[in-house]
Amino acid sequence: MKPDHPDPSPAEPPPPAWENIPVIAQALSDVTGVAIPPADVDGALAHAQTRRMASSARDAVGSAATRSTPLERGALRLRSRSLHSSFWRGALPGAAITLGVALVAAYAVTHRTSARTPSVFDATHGTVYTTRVGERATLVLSDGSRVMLAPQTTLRVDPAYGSESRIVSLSGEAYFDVANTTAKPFTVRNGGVSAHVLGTAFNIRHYPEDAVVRVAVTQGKVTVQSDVARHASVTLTAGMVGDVNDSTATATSDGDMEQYTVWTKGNLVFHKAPTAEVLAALTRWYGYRFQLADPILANKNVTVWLSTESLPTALGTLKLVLDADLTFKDSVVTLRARRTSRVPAQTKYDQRDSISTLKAEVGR
Amino acid sequence: MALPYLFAVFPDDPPNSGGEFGHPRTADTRSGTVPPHDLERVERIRAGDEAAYDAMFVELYAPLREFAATYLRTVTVAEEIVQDVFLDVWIRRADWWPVGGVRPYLFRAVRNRAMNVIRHTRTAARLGTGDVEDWMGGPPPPPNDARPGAALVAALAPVIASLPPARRRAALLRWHFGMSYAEIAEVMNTSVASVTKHIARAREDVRPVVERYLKE
Repeated sequence: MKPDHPDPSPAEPPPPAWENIPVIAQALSDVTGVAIPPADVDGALAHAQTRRMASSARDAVGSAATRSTPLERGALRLRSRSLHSSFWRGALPGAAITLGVALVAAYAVTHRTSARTPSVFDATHGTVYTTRVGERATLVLSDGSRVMLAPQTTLRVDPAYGSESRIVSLSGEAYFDVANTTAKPFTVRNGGVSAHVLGTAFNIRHYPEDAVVRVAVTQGKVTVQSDVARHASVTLTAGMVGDVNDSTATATSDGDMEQYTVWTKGNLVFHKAPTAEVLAALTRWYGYRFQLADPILANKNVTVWLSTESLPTALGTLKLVLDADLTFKDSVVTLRARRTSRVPAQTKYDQRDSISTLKAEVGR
Repeated sequence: MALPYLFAVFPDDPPNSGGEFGHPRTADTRSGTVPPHDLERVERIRAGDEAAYDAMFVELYAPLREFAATYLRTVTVAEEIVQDVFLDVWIRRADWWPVGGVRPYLFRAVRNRAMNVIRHTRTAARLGTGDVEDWMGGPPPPPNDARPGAALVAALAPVIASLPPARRRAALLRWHFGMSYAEIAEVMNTSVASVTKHIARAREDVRPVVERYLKE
């Protein structure tokens, strides 16, 4: 391939004379590249057009733009086998069997065309999207509203979505960016609470173990109301966080909104959170279960910033914050408080060493 | 058990995709500049023009595939990565704003994805390879004696193979893909100044071989 420089920047120094001698230019090109069989561009284009049509078809019914590569998709299937069953037993006992069977069927159909998020369409119940342990997904609904689902979250889109009203039901955590294209109200039902919105961005969270539905608004305005007691209602504007359950509604304006949405970028932030909350989140993100060998660890409040990119790094940080030792057995991590509260400086701060040890332990 | 966490993968968004989900979107997602020669096709693709998109695919598929292969050694995975990058552009076309130009944008998106795949393969974790850029390259092509310059290729191969990864990467983008310094900087996520430095050093490294060849 002959080099040509279509857009030379003025700052570029002129190349030496020899670089433009054709034989030398060709040799430099050959030697820096790699030898691979020639590309079948026509075949690749046909494949790309098929995938593009598949993605447009899914958009039409309000569906998923996902982020994954083939390797990861294969790996996710592999992983789901080991984790799926415990999730369904714990989270959604009632609907588990029906939904589970349907999801497997839908997944088999859609995964080839890069829709990693299983979805089921049903005229009565609407479309259901589910993320598993460690999985996030971004959905684009038919009106252009975007939803990012956290791990172990189920979103059900009403069959009449977009016609008169826009109603979705949620179990778990999701970040909504609602398109304000129409005057149709947008409603999220979650844990016996409804959030009514009109063109706004907010995070809503209610996992089965959470006592309240927590809504954090980053843009616009949301009214959150209990489905049981109508007086338990609160209106939130940007920068406000509301906690609502069956009977009470409270709002705070807590300066730092990032802690509620930072998971969308693959990070987890905890501010003076009980150990159990941190470990519950890690279980959702990685599928490992955690046991506390010493009750003293349960009473700690943890303030920590974790990147979910890598379990060893996250656990290495947690280990320092809790001052605990970790042991791995199967998919259970046991945390044990350190015997001495004063840790020798060398042990405590040699984080790289502890991370590589953890990698070795996890990798076994 | 297997290593589930390794595959809890959330590849980076392609760079500069604009309007990244999770951030409050501004009214106009276009910030930064797309060079004039790419403006028309970017606007057409943003508007959903399939012909413009296909033309872009035909133009850039082969070089991107080759570039991906420099990271992965496996042509199949390289092809799938390139397909994913193109599909992603289509899905997000309305927000697509390739700052720095279409070609460097796509190269960089391929690079990001390739590095994510590498980072998350089991082998990489087990070996604890810190610098994924080190994975570059298959073996240089075998010299073909029938061609002029075969001797030069044979003499250059060990020099190129011994270059530090970043310098070699810059040399690849310059000499093989014929990119400008600004484009290389965009692809490698670095400054034009450091690209200038890499190229200058790569030239110094190959100069003795080239001069010897020219004398003969």
